[in-house]
Order: sequence, then structure tokens, then C-alpha cells
Amino acid sequence: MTAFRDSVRERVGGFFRNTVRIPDWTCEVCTAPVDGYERCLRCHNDARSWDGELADIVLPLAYAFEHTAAHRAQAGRHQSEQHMWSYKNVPPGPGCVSDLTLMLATALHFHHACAATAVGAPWQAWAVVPSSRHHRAGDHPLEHLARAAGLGRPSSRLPDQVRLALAGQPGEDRDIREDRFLVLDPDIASGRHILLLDDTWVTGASAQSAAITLKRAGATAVTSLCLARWIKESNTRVDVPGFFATLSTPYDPLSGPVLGGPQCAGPLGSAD
Amino acid sequence: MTNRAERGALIALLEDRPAGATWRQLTDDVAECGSALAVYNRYVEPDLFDSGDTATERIERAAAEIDGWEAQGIGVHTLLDDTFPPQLRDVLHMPPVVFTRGTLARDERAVAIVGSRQASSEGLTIADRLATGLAGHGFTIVSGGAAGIDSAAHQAALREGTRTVAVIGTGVRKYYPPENRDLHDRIAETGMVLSQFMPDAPPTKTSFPMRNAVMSGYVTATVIVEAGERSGTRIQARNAVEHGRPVLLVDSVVRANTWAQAMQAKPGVHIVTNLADVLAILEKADDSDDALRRLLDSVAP
Repeated sequence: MTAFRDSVRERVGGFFRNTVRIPDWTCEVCTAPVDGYERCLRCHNDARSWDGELADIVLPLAYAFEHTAAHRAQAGRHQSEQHMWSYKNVPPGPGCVSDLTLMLATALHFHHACAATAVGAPWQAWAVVPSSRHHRAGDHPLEHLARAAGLGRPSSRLPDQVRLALAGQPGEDRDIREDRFLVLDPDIASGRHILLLDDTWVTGASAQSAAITLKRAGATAVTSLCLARWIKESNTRVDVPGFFATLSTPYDPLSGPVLGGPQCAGPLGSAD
Repeated sequence: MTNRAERGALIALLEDRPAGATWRQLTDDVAECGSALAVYNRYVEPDLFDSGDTATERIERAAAEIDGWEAQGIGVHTLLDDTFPPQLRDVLHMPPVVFTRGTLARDERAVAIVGSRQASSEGLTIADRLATGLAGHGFTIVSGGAAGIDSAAHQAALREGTRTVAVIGTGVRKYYPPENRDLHDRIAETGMVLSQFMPDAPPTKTSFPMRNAVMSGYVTATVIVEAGERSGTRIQARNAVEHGRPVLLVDSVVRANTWAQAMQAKPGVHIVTNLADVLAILEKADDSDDALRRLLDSVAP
């Protein structure tokens, strides 16, 4: 286990940082930096509109830091963004795929129990949020990554997948819509706590739309696990570079992405 | 193999830099879109060119340029080609194209040994011993083809008959420093010379640090044998940390440099005193399918 922890940290600790939940400093839902509020404006409004239908647990593992377009044109991306970008390219960066697979596998291993404690039932099936770029079933690079991490294997704790599909035309969508996705396997979703995977959380509209759809199909609870919470240098309301710079501790797979259950390594991460 | 027009369009984009686009932007655009032709057409209005020829002619001219390079034995590997070194796709400094002389190989187990051009005799000995030892364990020895530590590492690899790769700061038709011409040719004969610059590009102040970033991306790990306070080697150490690739600092480097001391607490940075230290770290960084499988099995859901 220590070897595993070291291995993940060695690989991604240089550029990924654990997400943190600190009152008035980060959103209690999506972990975005905020300026003196409990929640970011988006999560605040979404909670009012869709209360009870949104994901019960939101688990973004790490921050992906997006430099400004000008910075990227000259000096390139931050490596955290490079990882999230490269793993879905055709062909992908092989190291990015293995790094993210390991991050996901560890998160599933260490947070299985705390997610169960928080909701009262363990994950009972898994799903992947479809993306407009990879909208055919089984096409999504994240699905390959999830399978490589062990999901869907008959011998695993989570053999059953709930397939989701885009309803209608793919496109950019910044708002939650209850009819954005279809549940192709409602029998599998019904009565279960679903582990819903997404690669990046930008506004959360996509993951939350999928959570609503799953609940309307009968899911009893949804954990939305994202590899990365996207944060942008160009944000004009919050000093994102300043925030990101304060997160000096390298990504630790054992540091709770914010739940604090029995298997989560203590407090929800710290800012120092 | 990617088709001729696609490869031509990529080279034309890089040479013309329409709308002042940087190579970095063009790399991203083409990778995301999956087609250099589509990106070319997006940037360049049909039939309106500075050079006065049509898009088709411009792209054909670039494709003919590629033919010319290839006829001279230069490998041209664009990000659209299957032959593009996959490990470079991982890093933020991914170049849009690399040119090679010699034999392309996957080089999954490759270590960079880098350091000062004006090296001490002690530094040269360390580089030689490390390269020899790593060669004995089947690692490709990568360096920058420069004087000093680089030359010592390449020469040891050549002597041991192991594969060595020079990632150089000029085009592959140039030799820098000129006195290393013979060394570069010998490396190309049995191993490979790789460059991210156009084949005739001369050395510039910025090309060497850019080369260091690509070298970091090419290898599993970078060993810093000897370095000054202000050196390209230091830049490679910083790039490797940014990329999440292990950096191995020989202990004398840490003693002699404040930047190395400041760096030693970062994840992936190790201080090494001998070959055994280096091998132990490389084993942990092993990214082979087997190594990954073992790690994943230990946390199977």
C-alpha cells in the first residue's frame, strides 16, 4: 500500500494537487475556489433548482489548472491540464493514461468505504458521463480507463455498468438539463447507489444532468467522481493562480478527496 | 502512414505560422482536430497567400520538402504519424514534429544523463560509469550531443555497444559543437539523433533549453551529473519535475548548487550516490504493462 501511495505520488505529485474543502475558501460541493461563500454561485443556484436530485457526493480528485490562452500559446499548458488533454487524444499520451488509471484505481480502493458510510450504501453499479466528443457507447476514453482500473470485471466489486447516452445532438451545454442524457440500462440503475465517473468538472452541468437522469431512472444515490476539478487562471472573480500556489502539498492518493470516512486519511486535506 | 497532404500541411503551417500562430498553438490545434489540412484551411483563406500560390501548391511544396529530407535518410515524424515517439505526447512540451537520423525505437527504458559542457574530470568519470552501468541493464542512454558530460555519456554507450540517442539543439543537418560532428555521426549509425527543429535550423540561445524540455519528455528519468548555477541542465531538471518524470541528482550536484538544494524536496526528485540508487529509482518508475498491472492488482476494486 505504501508502495502504491509512493508510486502515485511520484508520478503525478509534481503537478496534481488534491482538491480541498475549506469553508469560505472552496465550494463545499465542487471544491472550486470561492471568495467567502459556502458554495460557488453555480453550485448554489443548482442546489436551489434541483435540490435532492443532484449527486449525493461530489468527489473531484485533483485540480487541473488551465493557464490563459496567451500563456499556453507561448509556454504551453500546465502539466495537470496536459494530462487531462492528452489522455483523450488519438493516440493518447501513454504515460497520461497510466497515471490517470492509477489515480482512479486508488481513489476507488480508498474511498469505497467512506462513500458507503456517507450515503448508507456502497457503490452498486458504475456509469460514465457521455461526452459530446466521444458520444458513441463504449467510445469514451474514460470508459477504457475505468475498465483498466478494474471496473466492469465480473470478479470486481462493481461488475455492473449503467450505460448512458446523449439524448439528441451532441453540443456544448453549460446548464443542467434533465433530458440531456438517456439511461440505457434502467434495470441496472434502479434501486442502486451509482458511481458516476467524469473526467473533468468545469461547471458540473454535465455530471449533475447525468445524476438527475440516473435518479429519475430509480437510482437511490449517486456519487459523482471526477478526475479533475478544472480551475482557470483567467477567472476574474477569484485569484485562481494565488489559490493554486497555496496548494503546495503534492497529490496524495490517501488524502481524502474530501469525505473523511474511516478509510480517508484524516482531515480533508489542508491548505499548507 | 498519414497521407502526404496532411504531412505537407503540417510542415507548411510550421514554416508559415499563419496569423502569427506559435508552434505550441499549432501543435494543440492539429492534435485536437486530428487533421493538419483542416487547421491549415482554418488559418489560411483559400487562394490568398503571401507567397502567391494556391493552398494545394503550398502544401505540395512542403510535401516535396519532406520527400527531399527523407531521400537524404532523415526520418520525419509528425504528431499525426504512428512513428511519432508516443512518450512525447505525455508532456506539455510535446513538439509538433521530430526529425531523426538513425534508427527509430520505442525506447521505453531510456535514461538521460546530462550535465555541464565544461565538466570536471570527476564529472566525466561519473557520467562514464553511470552510462556503462545503465547500458549493462538494458537502458538506452540519452543525452544532448554536446561537449562535456553529454559526450562522455554517449561515448560510454557507444563503447558498450548499447543504444544511445542524442536529442540535439539544432536541425539534424547541423553539428553543434562542430567538433562533435564525428560523435553525432557515430550515434546516428548505431542509435539515433533526434531534433525538434527544422533540419537546417542553426543553434540559437533558445534552442538548447527547448531541446532540454523535449529530452525530458523522451526519457523515463533524467540523471544530472554535474551542473552550474545557471545551466541548461538546470532547465532540464525543472522541466522533468514539471513533467512528473523522475530527476536524479548526483550528490555532488546538490552540494554545489542552491537550485538543486531547493529542488530536492519536490516529488520525483532523488539524490543518488551510486548506480544501485539509480537502478532502484528506475525500477519504481517502470511504466511497463507488467509493472502497471502489478500496481493495479494491489488495489483492484
